[in-house]
Amino acid sequence: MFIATILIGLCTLILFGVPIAVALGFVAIATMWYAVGPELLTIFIQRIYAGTTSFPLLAIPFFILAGNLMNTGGTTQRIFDVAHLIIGRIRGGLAHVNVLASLLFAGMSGSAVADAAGLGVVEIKAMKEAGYKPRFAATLTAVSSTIGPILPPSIPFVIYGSLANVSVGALFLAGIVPGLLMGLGLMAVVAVIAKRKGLPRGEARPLTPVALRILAFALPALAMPFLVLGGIFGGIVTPTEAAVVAAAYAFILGRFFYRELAWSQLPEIVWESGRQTAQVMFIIAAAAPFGWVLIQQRIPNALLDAMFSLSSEPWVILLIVNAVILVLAMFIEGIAILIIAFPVLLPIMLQIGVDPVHFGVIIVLNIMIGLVTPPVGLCLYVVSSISNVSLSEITRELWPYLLALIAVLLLITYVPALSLWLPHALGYGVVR
Amino acid sequence: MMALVDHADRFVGQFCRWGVILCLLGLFILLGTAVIVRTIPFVSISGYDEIVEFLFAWLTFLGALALWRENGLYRVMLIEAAAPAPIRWLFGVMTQALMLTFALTLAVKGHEFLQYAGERTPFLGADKTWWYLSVPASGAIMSIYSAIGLARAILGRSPQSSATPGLD
Repeated sequence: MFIATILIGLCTLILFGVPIAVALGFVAIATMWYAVGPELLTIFIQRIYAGTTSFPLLAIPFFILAGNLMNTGGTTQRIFDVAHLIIGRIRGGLAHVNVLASLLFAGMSGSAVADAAGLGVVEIKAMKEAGYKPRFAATLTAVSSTIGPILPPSIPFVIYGSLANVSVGALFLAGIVPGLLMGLGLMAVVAVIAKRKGLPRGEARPLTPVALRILAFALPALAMPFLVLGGIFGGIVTPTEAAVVAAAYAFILGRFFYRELAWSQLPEIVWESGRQTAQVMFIIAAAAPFGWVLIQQRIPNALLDAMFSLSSEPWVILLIVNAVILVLAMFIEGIAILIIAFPVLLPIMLQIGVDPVHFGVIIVLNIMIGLVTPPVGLCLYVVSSISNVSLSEITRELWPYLLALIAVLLLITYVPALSLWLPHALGYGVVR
Repeated sequence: MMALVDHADRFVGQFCRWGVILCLLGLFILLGTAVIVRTIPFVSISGYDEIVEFLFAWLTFLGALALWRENGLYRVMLIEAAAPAPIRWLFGVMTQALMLTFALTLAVKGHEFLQYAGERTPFLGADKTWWYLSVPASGAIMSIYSAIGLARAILGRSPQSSATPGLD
């Protein structure tokens, strides 16, 4: 009964409009007060401060900064140009370009919202000008942006790795195949729609001097994933330092190579990045005492027992877990779900033999699908605001893409090798 | 009187803005230097992790204060937006009351925590109070904003929202 009160109370507060960080903190305060008394609340302060001191989490502000610098400094436009050059000529070319550009951008930024808000502006404008229906362009942009945090680098993987004590490098590697599968799945849907609706082919761009110039100009931008990921997997930098390198590189490209970034824009970009960081970090900080309360009240153990009373079959438990996270992700912001669900669900996953790296990919993929499911899909709101297409119009177009993403989710869930073979092949061991 | 309050509010806004910018730039320089220094043999920077912790904590709590001031913390508006006016009023009052409780806990218990802490950092030997101060200091100012927010909510004036999307 006590457990149900805590969890239902938290979800109710969040759904009734209380800021997520405040809801997490308030439930922790109330539980500590009820269980022991006000004297325990200094632990609340200790935990909330400790929530901000994890070194791996320092990657968050710099991946955000890198994304914002790329969007302002012209790197994003070059990525789109290259994607256009590669596959713009096939039927529904610009729609495929939309997905491919998100795949390329995903290798540089760790945030779906940065993709939707930055690359999305370029993609939607180009698709509208080429005669695509705005609602089709907006929907595809929202859906393709979810690839960002699955392919490395990834802010949710940094948070999960820090919370679950799992190698962020292993998580980054584990996301590569699922990210590519998401891209392929979305391109397959686009191909079917393109054929059925007779979508236009892009203008032919053979290897002309202009095309070669576009490619040459974009090469420094395309080098960024190799710089970031090569640095991490080559053992030269940690993921946190790689984020700093990514931000520095994005600045150099925007300021000195593409010359689209003015010094006067920097304070605003740094302020916006810091503000967005605080948005995430305040939730993480407030979740630290909440996680402490969960463990003190032995809530994960109780839920473990409850889950095993339903079924002891791993595939059934995985199905239930996927369904629960997916439903939560429809209503609650993704980072909050990651923080709330991981201490409860990870023990269950370990009990049924699921690798924590594999579970990291599963939970983040669920959260990404939640970003494009109504009623609280953040990417839907972002894309709706930049495209002036209503949410209901986007939602109507969404279903084929959602089915493709759910198919990828089930594939990733039940074929662990798709996530784990790459980390294993490169020497990251299984943690049990 | 209102001009003074307005002036103080603008000062808090600017203080948070430039505090966050300086913390983020400081982190960028420190971590960037650490990467570069690692490639130079026989050179190391010690104690930088203590400054990194200081800057990250202040970045988080000053940024949270800025968001608190702008009513920009991430929240789900779905039910509140669909509710009829009297229920919306009730949600508004409840939300502000919970925010005030949370902020007061940060301020009061954070202050108590400072009294007992009395640590010094291992390398720099600095008083850790300056690190922990980020929690009660931001909590105290959040409490003032929440008290005003609660009064406004009771009077039926909803605060301006500048909610921003999350970062998944």
